[in-house]
Amino acid sequence: MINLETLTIQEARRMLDTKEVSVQDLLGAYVAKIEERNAEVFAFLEVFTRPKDVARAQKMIDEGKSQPLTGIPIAIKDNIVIEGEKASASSKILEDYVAPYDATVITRLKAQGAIFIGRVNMDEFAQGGSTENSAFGVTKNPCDTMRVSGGSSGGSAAAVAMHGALVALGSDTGGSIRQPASFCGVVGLKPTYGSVSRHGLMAMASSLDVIGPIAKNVADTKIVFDVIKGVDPLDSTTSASQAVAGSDASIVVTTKETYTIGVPRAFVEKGMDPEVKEIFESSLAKLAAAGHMIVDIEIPLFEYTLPVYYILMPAEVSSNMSRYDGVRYGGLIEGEDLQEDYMKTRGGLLGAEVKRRILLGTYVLSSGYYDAYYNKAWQVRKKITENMSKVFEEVDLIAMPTTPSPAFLIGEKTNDPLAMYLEDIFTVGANITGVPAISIPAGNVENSGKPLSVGLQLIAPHHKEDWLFDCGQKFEIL
Amino acid sequence: MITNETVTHLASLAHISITNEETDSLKNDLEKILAYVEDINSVDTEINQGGVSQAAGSNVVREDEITNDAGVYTEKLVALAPQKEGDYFTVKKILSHND
Repeated sequence: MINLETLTIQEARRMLDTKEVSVQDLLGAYVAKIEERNAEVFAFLEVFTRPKDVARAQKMIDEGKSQPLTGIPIAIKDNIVIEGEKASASSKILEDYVAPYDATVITRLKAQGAIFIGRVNMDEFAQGGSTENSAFGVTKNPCDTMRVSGGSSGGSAAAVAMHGALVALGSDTGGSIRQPASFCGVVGLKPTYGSVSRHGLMAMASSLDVIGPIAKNVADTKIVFDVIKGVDPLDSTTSASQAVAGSDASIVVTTKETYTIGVPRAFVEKGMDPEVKEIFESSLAKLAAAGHMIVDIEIPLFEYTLPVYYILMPAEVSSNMSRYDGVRYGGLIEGEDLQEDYMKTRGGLLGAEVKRRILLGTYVLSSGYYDAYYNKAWQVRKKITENMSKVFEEVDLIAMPTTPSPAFLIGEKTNDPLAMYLEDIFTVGANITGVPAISIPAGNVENSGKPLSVGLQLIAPHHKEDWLFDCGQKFEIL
Repeated sequence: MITNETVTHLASLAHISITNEETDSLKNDLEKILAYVEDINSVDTEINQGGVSQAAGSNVVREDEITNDAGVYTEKLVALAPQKEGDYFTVKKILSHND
Protein backbone atom coordinates (compact mmCIF):
# COMPACT_ATOMS: atom_id res chain seq x y z
CA MET A 1 0.00 0.00 0.00
CA ILE A 2 1.47 3.34 -1.05
CA ASN A 3 0.60 6.33 1.12
CA LEU A 4 0.42 9.09 -1.49
CA GLU A 5 -0.29 11.75 1.12
CA THR A 6 3.17 11.52 2.66
CA LEU A 7 5.14 10.19 -0.30
CA THR A 8 8.21 12.18 -1.36
CA ILE A 9 10.52 11.73 -4.35
CA GLN A 10 13.24 10.26 -2.15
CA GLU A 11 10.86 7.75 -0.57
CA ALA A 12 9.39 6.83 -3.96
CA ARG A 13 12.96 6.43 -5.26
CA ARG A 14 13.73 3.99 -2.45
CA MET A 15 10.53 2.01 -3.02
CA LEU A 16 11.12 1.81 -6.78
CA ASP A 17 14.80 0.90 -6.50
CA THR A 18 14.18 -1.80 -3.88
CA LYS A 19 11.33 -3.19 -6.05
CA GLU A 20 8.84 -2.61 -3.27
CA VAL A 21 6.67 -1.07 -5.99
CA SER A 22 6.88 -1.05 -9.77
CA VAL A 23 6.73 2.07 -11.94
CA GLN A 24 3.30 0.89 -13.10
CA ASP A 25 2.07 0.41 -9.50
CA LEU A 26 3.13 3.89 -8.53
CA LEU A 27 1.59 5.45 -11.64
CA GLY A 28 -1.58 3.39 -11.12
CA ALA A 29 -1.94 4.68 -7.56
CA TYR A 30 -1.78 8.28 -8.80
CA VAL A 31 -4.16 7.66 -11.70
CA ALA A 32 -6.65 6.10 -9.25
CA LYS A 33 -6.39 9.21 -7.07
CA ILE A 34 -7.01 11.43 -10.11
CA GLU A 35 -10.09 9.37 -10.99
CA GLU A 36 -11.33 9.84 -7.45
CA ARG A 37 -10.77 13.59 -7.13
CA ASN A 38 -10.46 15.23 -10.54
CA ALA A 39 -14.19 15.53 -11.28
CA GLU A 40 -14.44 17.83 -8.28
CA VAL A 41 -11.09 19.64 -8.35
CA PHE A 42 -10.47 19.73 -12.13
CA ALA A 43 -6.69 19.97 -11.96
CA PHE A 44 -6.08 17.65 -14.93
CA LEU A 45 -7.20 18.46 -18.47
CA GLU A 46 -5.98 15.06 -19.65
CA VAL A 47 -4.33 11.98 -18.18
CA PHE A 48 -1.73 10.63 -20.58
CA THR A 49 -1.28 6.97 -21.53
CA ARG A 50 2.41 6.48 -22.24
CA PRO A 51 3.20 2.77 -21.74
CA LYS A 52 6.59 3.04 -23.48
CA ASP A 53 7.79 5.59 -20.91
CA VAL A 54 6.68 3.25 -18.11
CA ALA A 55 8.48 0.26 -19.66
CA ARG A 56 11.63 2.26 -20.27
CA ALA A 57 11.69 3.63 -16.71
CA GLN A 58 11.20 0.13 -15.28
CA LYS A 59 14.02 -1.16 -17.49
CA MET A 60 16.35 1.60 -16.23
CA ILE A 61 15.54 0.59 -12.65
CA ASP A 62 15.89 -3.13 -13.35
CA GLU A 63 19.30 -2.55 -14.91
CA GLY A 64 20.43 -0.51 -11.91
CA LYS A 65 20.58 2.68 -13.99
CA SER A 66 17.97 4.70 -12.18
CA GLN A 67 18.28 8.49 -11.96
CA PRO A 68 16.69 10.71 -9.29
CA LEU A 69 13.44 11.04 -11.30
CA THR A 70 13.21 7.60 -12.97
CA GLY A 71 9.61 6.41 -12.72
CA ILE A 72 8.44 9.53 -10.85
CA PRO A 73 4.98 10.75 -12.00
CA ILE A 74 5.06 14.42 -12.96
CA ALA A 75 2.13 16.64 -14.01
CA ILE A 76 2.91 19.16 -16.75
CA LYS A 77 1.37 22.60 -17.09
CA ASP A 78 -0.58 22.86 -20.33
CA ASN A 79 1.78 25.50 -21.79
CA ILE A 80 4.84 23.20 -21.89
CA VAL A 81 5.05 21.03 -25.00
CA ILE A 82 5.55 17.26 -25.17
CA GLU A 83 5.95 15.77 -28.64
CA GLY A 84 2.78 14.01 -29.76
CA GLU A 85 0.63 15.28 -26.87
CA LYS A 86 -1.93 18.07 -26.85
CA ALA A 87 -0.84 21.38 -25.34
CA SER A 88 -3.53 24.05 -25.33
CA ALA A 89 -2.40 26.63 -22.75
CA SER A 90 -6.05 26.24 -21.64
CA SER A 91 -7.10 28.30 -24.66
CA LYS A 92 -9.82 27.66 -27.24
CA ILE A 93 -7.39 28.81 -29.91
CA LEU A 94 -5.08 25.83 -29.22
CA GLU A 95 -7.77 23.35 -28.17
CA ASP A 96 -6.66 20.71 -30.69
CA TYR A 97 -2.97 21.62 -30.96
CA VAL A 98 -0.67 18.59 -30.82
CA ALA A 99 2.95 19.52 -30.14
CA PRO A 100 5.49 18.52 -32.80
CA TYR A 101 8.53 18.69 -30.47
CA ASP A 102 9.66 18.44 -26.85
CA ALA A 103 10.38 21.43 -24.63
CA THR A 104 13.96 21.33 -23.30
CA VAL A 105 12.69 20.64 -19.76
CA ILE A 106 10.76 17.67 -21.18
CA THR A 107 13.88 16.35 -22.96
CA ARG A 108 15.77 16.58 -19.68
CA LEU A 109 13.01 14.81 -17.74
CA LYS A 110 12.77 12.11 -20.43
CA ALA A 111 16.50 11.42 -20.11
CA GLN A 112 15.82 10.71 -16.43
CA GLY A 113 12.96 8.33 -17.21
CA ALA A 114 10.35 10.54 -15.51
CA ILE A 115 6.68 9.72 -16.19
CA PHE A 116 4.44 12.47 -17.59
CA ILE A 117 1.15 11.63 -15.91
CA GLY A 118 -0.96 14.30 -17.56
CA ARG A 119 -1.38 17.94 -18.51
CA VAL A 120 -2.86 20.31 -15.98
CA ASN A 121 -5.14 23.32 -16.10
CA MET A 122 -4.03 26.96 -15.99
CA ASP A 123 -5.23 30.47 -16.70
CA GLU A 124 -5.35 30.88 -20.47
CA PHE A 125 -1.79 31.49 -21.72
CA ALA A 126 -0.76 31.84 -18.06
CA GLN A 127 -2.67 35.13 -17.79
CA GLY A 128 -4.44 35.27 -14.46
CA GLY A 129 -4.10 34.49 -10.79
CA SER A 130 -6.92 32.04 -10.10
CA THR A 131 -7.21 29.52 -13.00
CA GLU A 132 -10.67 31.04 -13.55
CA ASN A 133 -9.41 32.22 -16.95
CA SER A 134 -9.07 28.68 -18.33
CA ALA A 135 -11.28 28.14 -21.36
CA PHE A 136 -12.09 24.67 -20.03
CA GLY A 137 -13.20 25.26 -16.43
CA VAL A 138 -11.99 26.42 -13.03
CA THR A 139 -9.49 24.40 -11.00
CA LYS A 140 -10.79 24.36 -7.44
CA ASN A 141 -8.66 24.44 -4.33
CA PRO A 142 -8.35 20.84 -3.01
CA CYS A 143 -8.38 22.21 0.57
CA ASP A 144 -11.72 24.01 0.06
CA THR A 145 -13.44 23.55 -3.29
CA MET A 146 -15.43 26.78 -2.91
CA ARG A 147 -12.13 28.57 -3.33
CA VAL A 148 -9.67 29.11 -6.17
CA SER A 149 -6.49 27.09 -6.49
CA GLY A 150 -4.64 30.25 -7.48
CA GLY A 151 -2.93 30.78 -10.77
CA SER A 152 -1.82 30.73 -13.31
CA SER A 153 -0.30 27.32 -12.42
CA GLY A 154 -3.43 26.40 -10.41
CA GLY A 155 -3.68 22.95 -12.01
CA SER A 156 -0.05 22.18 -11.13
CA ALA A 157 -0.48 23.15 -7.47
CA ALA A 158 -3.87 21.44 -7.14
CA ALA A 159 -2.56 18.25 -8.81
CA VAL A 160 0.17 17.96 -6.16
CA ALA A 161 -2.11 19.01 -3.29
CA MET A 162 -4.79 16.44 -4.21
CA HIS A 163 -2.06 13.76 -4.49
CA GLY A 164 -2.66 13.37 -8.23
CA ALA A 165 1.06 13.68 -8.98
CA LEU A 166 4.23 13.58 -6.93
CA VAL A 167 5.46 16.83 -8.47
CA ALA A 168 4.40 19.23 -11.22
CA LEU A 169 5.97 21.75 -13.53
CA GLY A 170 4.53 25.25 -13.64
CA SER A 171 5.63 28.57 -15.08
CA ASP A 172 6.03 31.86 -13.23
CA THR A 173 5.84 35.29 -14.87
CA GLY A 174 4.55 37.36 -11.93
CA GLY A 175 3.88 34.78 -9.22
CA SER A 176 2.19 31.98 -11.15
CA ILE A 177 4.08 29.19 -9.36
CA ARG A 178 4.36 30.69 -5.86
CA GLN A 179 0.82 32.04 -5.42
CA PRO A 180 -1.01 28.76 -6.26
CA ALA A 181 1.56 26.83 -4.20
CA SER A 182 0.77 29.13 -1.26
CA PHE A 183 -3.02 28.75 -1.76
CA CYS A 184 -2.85 24.94 -2.03
CA GLY A 185 -0.40 24.29 0.81
CA VAL A 186 2.53 23.04 -1.29
CA VAL A 187 6.03 24.28 -2.16
CA GLY A 188 6.66 26.28 -5.34
CA LEU A 189 9.99 27.47 -6.74
CA LYS A 190 10.43 30.34 -9.18
CA PRO A 191 14.03 29.89 -10.33
CA THR A 192 16.45 32.64 -11.40
CA TYR A 193 15.42 34.09 -14.77
CA GLY A 194 17.42 32.26 -17.42
CA SER A 195 18.43 29.33 -15.22
CA VAL A 196 15.86 27.01 -16.84
CA SER A 197 15.36 26.92 -20.60
CA ARG A 198 12.08 28.34 -21.89
CA HIS A 199 12.37 26.48 -25.20
CA GLY A 200 8.99 24.77 -25.59
CA LEU A 201 7.23 26.99 -23.05
CA MET A 202 4.52 29.03 -24.74
CA ALA A 203 5.75 32.59 -24.35
CA MET A 204 3.73 35.04 -22.30
CA ALA A 205 6.14 37.84 -21.24
CA SER A 206 9.58 36.82 -22.41
CA SER A 207 11.67 39.02 -20.12
CA LEU A 208 9.93 37.51 -17.07
CA ASP A 209 8.86 33.90 -17.86
CA VAL A 210 10.54 30.98 -16.11
CA ILE A 211 9.64 27.29 -15.62
CA GLY A 212 9.82 25.81 -12.12
CA PRO A 213 8.67 22.91 -9.94
CA ILE A 214 5.78 22.56 -7.49
CA ALA A 215 6.11 19.76 -4.93
CA LYS A 216 5.19 18.68 -1.42
CA ASN A 217 8.43 19.73 0.17
CA VAL A 218 11.56 21.75 -0.46
CA ALA A 219 13.82 18.73 -1.05
CA ASP A 220 11.59 17.55 -3.91
CA THR A 221 11.62 20.96 -5.62
CA LYS A 222 15.42 20.89 -5.43
CA ILE A 223 15.60 17.45 -7.04
CA VAL A 224 13.46 18.60 -9.98
CA PHE A 225 15.21 21.97 -10.32
CA ASP A 226 18.62 20.28 -10.47
CA VAL A 227 17.38 18.20 -13.42
CA ILE A 228 15.69 20.95 -15.45
CA LYS A 229 18.20 23.80 -14.99
CA GLY A 230 21.18 24.57 -17.17
CA VAL A 231 22.43 26.19 -20.36
CA ASP A 232 20.44 25.43 -23.52
CA PRO A 233 21.57 26.57 -26.99
CA LEU A 234 17.86 26.86 -27.89
CA ASP A 235 17.27 29.63 -25.30
CA SER A 236 19.93 32.33 -25.40
CA THR A 237 18.85 33.78 -22.05
CA THR A 238 20.19 30.64 -20.36
CA SER A 239 23.74 31.44 -21.43
CA ALA A 240 23.29 35.18 -20.87
CA SER A 241 22.10 34.47 -17.36
CA GLN A 242 25.09 32.23 -16.63
CA ALA A 243 27.47 34.82 -18.09
CA VAL A 244 26.03 37.54 -15.86
CA ALA A 245 26.45 35.29 -12.87
CA GLY A 246 30.05 34.65 -13.88
CA SER A 247 29.42 31.01 -13.28
CA ASP A 248 28.39 27.81 -14.96
CA ALA A 249 25.78 25.24 -14.10
CA SER A 250 28.24 23.12 -12.15
CA ILE A 251 29.19 25.82 -9.64
CA VAL A 252 28.51 24.86 -6.05
CA VAL A 253 26.86 27.44 -3.80
CA THR A 254 28.15 27.17 -0.26
CA THR A 255 25.29 26.92 2.18
CA LYS A 256 25.38 28.57 5.62
CA GLU A 257 24.62 27.49 9.16
CA THR A 258 22.38 30.49 9.65
CA TYR A 259 21.16 33.22 7.31
CA THR A 260 20.67 36.95 7.59
CA ILE A 261 17.10 37.51 6.45
CA GLY A 262 15.83 40.96 5.52
CA VAL A 263 12.20 41.96 5.94
CA PRO A 264 10.93 45.00 3.98
CA ARG A 265 8.53 45.92 6.79
CA ALA A 266 7.08 49.14 5.45
CA PHE A 267 6.31 47.47 2.14
CA VAL A 268 4.75 44.25 3.40
CA GLU A 269 2.72 45.73 6.21
CA LYS A 270 0.62 47.88 3.94
CA GLY A 271 -1.04 45.03 2.11
CA MET A 272 -1.32 42.04 4.44
CA ASP A 273 -4.50 40.56 5.91
CA PRO A 274 -4.29 40.37 9.74
CA GLU A 275 -4.31 36.54 9.73
CA VAL A 276 -1.55 36.43 7.10
CA LYS A 277 0.46 38.91 9.17
CA GLU A 278 0.09 36.72 12.23
CA ILE A 279 1.47 33.67 10.41
CA PHE A 280 4.24 35.74 8.82
CA GLU A 281 5.34 37.14 12.19
CA SER A 282 5.34 33.71 13.79
CA SER A 283 7.43 32.36 10.87
CA LEU A 284 9.98 35.12 11.45
CA ALA A 285 9.99 34.40 15.18
CA LYS A 286 10.67 30.71 14.52
CA LEU A 287 13.53 31.54 12.17
CA ALA A 288 15.00 33.93 14.72
CA ALA A 289 14.70 31.32 17.48
CA ALA A 290 16.59 28.89 15.23
CA GLY A 291 19.51 31.32 15.11
CA HIS A 292 18.84 33.18 11.88
CA MET A 293 19.20 36.94 12.00
CA ILE A 294 16.05 38.86 11.09
CA VAL A 295 16.68 42.47 10.10
CA ASP A 296 14.44 45.27 8.83
CA ILE A 297 15.31 46.46 5.36
CA GLU A 298 14.05 48.91 2.79
CA ILE A 299 14.20 48.20 -0.93
CA PRO A 300 13.82 51.66 -2.44
CA LEU A 301 11.13 51.88 -5.15
CA PHE A 302 9.97 48.32 -4.49
CA GLU A 303 6.37 49.57 -4.26
CA TYR A 304 6.62 50.28 -8.00
CA THR A 305 7.24 46.65 -8.99
CA LEU A 306 3.53 46.00 -9.56
CA PRO A 307 2.86 49.03 -11.83
CA VAL A 308 6.11 48.29 -13.70
CA TYR A 309 4.95 44.70 -14.13
CA TYR A 310 1.51 45.70 -15.43
CA ILE A 311 3.16 47.81 -18.13
CA LEU A 312 5.98 45.53 -19.29
CA MET A 313 4.05 42.26 -19.07
CA PRO A 314 1.07 43.33 -21.25
CA ALA A 315 3.48 44.96 -23.73
CA GLU A 316 5.29 41.63 -24.12
CA VAL A 317 1.98 39.74 -24.13
CA SER A 318 0.62 41.85 -26.99
CA SER A 319 3.71 41.01 -29.01
CA ASN A 320 3.86 37.30 -28.12
CA MET A 321 0.14 36.71 -28.72
CA SER A 322 0.34 38.05 -32.27
CA ARG A 323 1.47 34.59 -33.42
CA TYR A 324 -2.02 33.19 -32.82
CA ASP A 325 -3.51 34.22 -36.14
CA GLY A 326 -5.19 31.08 -37.45
CA VAL A 327 -2.66 30.65 -40.25
CA ARG A 328 0.14 28.34 -39.16
CA TYR A 329 -1.48 26.42 -36.30
CA GLY A 330 -4.38 26.63 -33.89
CA GLY A 331 -8.03 27.37 -34.52
CA LEU A 332 -9.46 29.44 -37.35
CA ILE A 333 -12.80 31.22 -37.68
CA GLU A 334 -13.25 32.25 -41.29
CA GLY A 335 -14.45 35.64 -42.46
CA GLU A 336 -14.86 37.32 -45.84
CA ASP A 337 -11.19 38.09 -46.34
CA LEU A 338 -7.83 37.57 -44.63
CA GLN A 339 -8.25 40.59 -42.37
CA GLU A 340 -11.59 39.23 -41.17
CA ASP A 341 -10.04 35.78 -40.68
CA TYR A 342 -7.57 37.34 -38.24
CA MET A 343 -10.15 39.49 -36.47
CA LYS A 344 -12.73 36.72 -36.03
CA THR A 345 -10.20 34.06 -35.07
CA ARG A 346 -8.58 36.19 -32.37
CA GLY A 347 -11.84 37.83 -31.28
CA GLY A 348 -13.68 34.53 -31.06
CA LEU A 349 -11.05 32.17 -29.70
CA LEU A 350 -9.07 34.28 -27.19
CA GLY A 351 -10.53 34.84 -23.72
CA ALA A 352 -11.45 38.15 -22.05
CA GLU A 353 -8.29 38.53 -19.94
CA VAL A 354 -5.97 37.75 -22.87
CA LYS A 355 -7.75 40.38 -24.99
CA ARG A 356 -7.58 42.89 -22.13
CA ARG A 357 -3.82 42.43 -21.83
CA ILE A 358 -3.24 42.56 -25.58
CA LEU A 359 -5.09 45.88 -25.81
CA LEU A 360 -3.33 47.28 -22.75
CA GLY A 361 0.02 46.24 -24.25
CA THR A 362 -0.91 47.70 -27.62
CA TYR A 363 -1.73 50.97 -25.85
CA VAL A 364 1.50 51.29 -23.84
CA LEU A 365 3.57 50.46 -26.93
CA SER A 366 1.74 52.84 -29.24
CA SER A 367 3.35 55.94 -30.64
CA GLY A 368 2.97 58.85 -28.22
CA TYR A 369 2.69 56.65 -25.12
CA TYR A 370 5.76 54.43 -25.58
CA ASP A 371 8.13 56.74 -23.67
CA ALA A 372 5.74 57.51 -20.84
CA TYR A 373 4.89 53.89 -20.19
CA TYR A 374 7.13 51.25 -21.74
CA ASN A 375 10.49 53.06 -21.69
CA LYS A 376 9.80 54.58 -18.30
CA ALA A 377 8.87 51.18 -16.87
CA TRP A 378 12.16 49.71 -18.08
CA GLN A 379 14.09 52.55 -16.45
CA VAL A 380 12.28 52.03 -13.16
CA ARG A 381 12.83 48.27 -13.48
CA LYS A 382 16.55 48.87 -13.83
CA LYS A 383 16.63 51.09 -10.74
CA ILE A 384 14.70 48.55 -8.66
CA THR A 385 17.08 45.80 -9.80
CA GLU A 386 20.07 47.90 -8.72
CA ASN A 387 18.42 48.63 -5.37
CA MET A 388 17.75 44.93 -4.86
CA SER A 389 21.42 44.11 -5.53
CA LYS A 390 22.46 46.65 -2.90
CA VAL A 391 20.11 45.08 -0.36
CA PHE A 392 21.69 41.68 -1.07
CA GLU A 393 25.08 43.12 -0.05
CA GLU A 394 23.61 43.42 3.46
CA VAL A 395 21.39 40.33 3.74
CA ASP A 396 21.45 36.75 2.41
CA LEU A 397 17.73 36.37 1.87
CA ILE A 398 14.57 38.45 1.87
CA ALA A 399 11.37 37.22 3.51
CA MET A 400 7.85 38.26 2.59
CA PRO A 401 4.44 36.62 2.63
CA THR A 402 3.70 35.00 -0.74
CA THR A 403 0.24 36.57 -0.96
CA PRO A 404 -1.66 39.27 0.95
CA SER A 405 -4.49 36.85 1.81
CA PRO A 406 -5.31 33.14 1.70
CA ALA A 407 -7.21 31.59 -1.25
CA PHE A 408 -10.23 33.69 -2.19
CA LEU A 409 -13.68 32.48 -3.22
CA ILE A 410 -14.35 31.45 -6.81
CA GLY A 411 -15.91 34.45 -8.56
CA GLU A 412 -14.85 36.91 -5.85
CA LYS A 413 -12.50 38.93 -8.08
CA THR A 414 -13.55 38.03 -11.62
CA ASN A 415 -15.32 41.34 -12.25
CA ASP A 416 -12.47 43.51 -11.04
CA PRO A 417 -9.24 42.94 -13.01
CA LEU A 418 -7.28 45.44 -10.90
CA ALA A 419 -8.23 43.67 -7.65
CA MET A 420 -6.99 40.43 -9.22
CA TYR A 421 -3.73 42.13 -10.27
CA LEU A 422 -3.10 43.34 -6.70
CA GLU A 423 -2.85 39.66 -5.71
CA ASP A 424 0.64 39.72 -7.29
CA ILE A 425 1.95 42.52 -5.06
CA PHE A 426 4.48 40.36 -3.16
CA THR A 427 5.47 38.05 -6.01
CA VAL A 428 6.22 40.24 -9.07
CA GLY A 429 9.34 41.76 -7.49
CA ALA A 430 11.32 38.54 -8.02
CA ASN A 431 10.30 38.47 -11.70
CA ILE A 432 11.06 42.15 -12.28
CA THR A 433 14.55 41.69 -10.81
CA GLY A 434 15.10 38.12 -12.09
CA VAL A 435 16.02 36.62 -8.71
CA PRO A 436 14.86 33.20 -7.43
CA ALA A 437 12.09 32.85 -4.84
CA ILE A 438 10.31 30.01 -3.12
CA SER A 439 6.95 29.70 -1.36
CA ILE A 440 6.82 27.28 1.57
CA PRO A 441 3.69 26.45 3.63
CA ALA A 442 3.93 28.49 6.83
CA GLY A 443 0.63 27.87 8.57
CA ASN A 444 -3.13 27.71 8.18
CA VAL A 445 -5.90 30.23 8.54
CA GLU A 446 -9.09 28.66 9.88
CA ASN A 447 -12.00 29.64 7.69
CA SER A 448 -15.43 28.16 8.46
CA GLY A 449 -13.73 25.03 9.69
CA LYS A 450 -11.56 24.52 6.64
CA PRO A 451 -7.86 25.28 7.07
CA LEU A 452 -6.48 27.54 4.33
CA SER A 453 -2.75 27.48 3.75
CA VAL A 454 -0.55 30.56 3.78
CA GLY A 455 2.97 30.57 2.34
CA LEU A 456 6.22 32.15 3.47
CA GLN A 457 8.21 33.52 0.55
CA LEU A 458 12.00 33.53 0.65
CA ILE A 459 13.90 35.45 -2.02
CA ALA A 460 17.62 34.98 -2.80
CA PRO A 461 20.23 36.69 -4.99
CA HIS A 462 20.62 35.49 -8.61
CA HIS A 463 21.63 31.80 -8.84
CA LYS A 464 21.48 31.25 -5.08
CA GLU A 465 18.63 28.71 -5.25
CA ASP A 466 20.67 26.49 -2.93
CA TRP A 467 20.25 29.06 -0.14
CA LEU A 468 16.48 28.91 -0.67
CA PHE A 469 16.56 25.11 -0.47
CA ASP A 470 18.84 25.07 2.55
CA CYS A 471 17.06 27.75 4.56
CA GLY A 472 13.70 26.43 3.33
CA GLN A 473 14.46 22.94 4.62
CA LYS A 474 15.57 24.38 7.96
CA PHE A 475 12.28 26.33 8.13
CA GLU A 476 10.13 23.30 7.23
CA ILE A 477 11.15 21.39 10.35
CA LEU A 478 10.61 24.31 12.75
CA MET B 1 -8.27 59.54 -21.51
CA ILE B 2 -9.58 56.29 -22.94
CA THR B 3 -12.66 56.52 -25.13
CA ASN B 4 -14.66 53.83 -26.87
CA GLU B 5 -12.94 54.95 -30.08
CA THR B 6 -9.50 54.35 -28.47
CA VAL B 7 -10.56 50.80 -27.61
CA THR B 8 -11.90 50.13 -31.11
CA HIS B 9 -8.70 51.49 -32.61
CA LEU B 10 -6.49 49.36 -30.33
CA ALA B 11 -8.57 46.29 -31.18
CA SER B 12 -8.16 46.89 -34.89
CA LEU B 13 -4.39 47.38 -34.45
CA ALA B 14 -4.28 44.07 -32.55
CA HIS B 15 -6.51 42.31 -35.12
CA ILE B 16 -9.18 41.40 -32.58
CA SER B 17 -12.89 41.76 -33.28
CA ILE B 18 -14.78 42.97 -30.21
CA THR B 19 -18.46 43.48 -29.52
CA ASN B 20 -19.96 46.76 -28.29
CA GLU B 21 -20.38 45.22 -24.86
CA GLU B 22 -16.72 44.27 -24.76
CA THR B 23 -15.76 47.79 -25.86
CA ASP B 24 -17.57 49.34 -22.89
CA SER B 25 -16.07 47.04 -20.29
CA LEU B 26 -12.57 47.21 -21.84
CA LYS B 27 -12.76 51.00 -21.74
CA ASN B 28 -13.51 50.93 -18.00
CA ASP B 29 -10.85 48.32 -17.27
CA LEU B 30 -8.12 50.06 -19.27
CA GLU B 31 -8.91 53.39 -17.60
CA LYS B 32 -8.59 51.88 -14.13
CA ILE B 33 -5.43 49.94 -14.90
CA LEU B 34 -3.72 52.86 -16.61
CA ALA B 35 -4.58 55.17 -13.71
CA TYR B 36 -2.89 52.67 -11.43
CA VAL B 37 0.30 52.09 -13.47
CA GLU B 38 0.74 55.81 -14.24
CA ASP B 39 2.26 56.06 -10.76
CA ILE B 40 5.66 55.17 -12.19
CA ASN B 41 5.93 58.63 -13.70
CA SER B 42 6.57 60.01 -10.22
CA VAL B 43 9.87 58.09 -10.10
CA ASP B 44 12.95 60.11 -10.98
CA THR B 45 14.95 58.37 -13.66
CA GLU B 46 18.09 59.91 -15.11
CA ILE B 47 17.60 61.68 -18.42
CA ASN B 48 20.53 59.86 -20.00
CA GLN B 49 19.47 56.45 -18.76
CA GLY B 50 18.02 55.45 -22.12
CA GLY B 51 15.16 53.04 -22.27
CA VAL B 52 14.71 49.39 -22.89
CA SER B 53 17.84 49.11 -25.04
CA GLN B 54 20.10 50.01 -22.13
CA ALA B 55 18.07 48.61 -19.28
CA ALA B 56 17.46 45.19 -20.78
CA GLY B 57 21.13 44.30 -21.05
CA SER B 58 23.07 43.12 -24.05
CA ASN B 59 22.01 40.80 -26.80
CA VAL B 60 23.34 37.27 -26.99
CA VAL B 61 24.53 36.50 -30.49
CA ARG B 62 25.61 33.27 -32.12
CA GLU B 63 26.73 32.08 -35.52
CA ASP B 64 23.91 31.68 -38.02
CA GLU B 65 24.50 28.01 -38.61
CA ILE B 66 22.19 25.58 -40.37
CA THR B 67 21.42 22.80 -37.90
CA ASN B 68 19.12 20.59 -39.95
CA ASP B 69 18.56 19.39 -43.50
CA ALA B 70 16.14 21.44 -45.54
CA GLY B 71 12.55 20.26 -45.33
CA VAL B 72 12.88 17.73 -42.50
CA TYR B 73 10.26 19.47 -40.37
CA THR B 74 8.03 20.72 -43.19
CA GLU B 75 5.46 17.95 -43.20
CA LYS B 76 5.10 17.94 -39.41
CA LEU B 77 4.67 21.71 -39.21
CA VAL B 78 2.39 22.20 -42.20
CA ALA B 79 0.15 19.43 -40.85
CA LEU B 80 -0.76 21.77 -37.95
CA ALA B 81 -2.14 24.51 -40.21
CA PRO B 82 -5.91 24.99 -40.46
CA GLN B 83 -5.60 25.59 -44.23
CA LYS B 84 -2.83 24.17 -46.39
CA GLU B 85 -1.95 23.02 -49.86
CA GLY B 86 0.99 20.69 -50.33
CA ASP B 87 3.95 22.16 -48.46
CA TYR B 88 2.33 25.58 -48.07
CA PHE B 89 0.08 27.38 -45.61
CA THR B 90 -2.76 28.96 -47.52
CA VAL B 91 -4.57 32.22 -46.77
CA LYS B 92 -7.28 34.16 -48.55
CA LYS B 93 -6.25 36.52 -51.33
CA ILE B 94 -4.26 39.43 -49.87
CA LEU B 95 -4.31 41.91 -52.75
CA SER B 96 -7.55 42.52 -54.58
CA HIS B 97 -8.69 44.88 -57.33
CA ASN B 98 -10.95 47.44 -55.78
CA ASP B 99 -12.40 50.01 -58.13
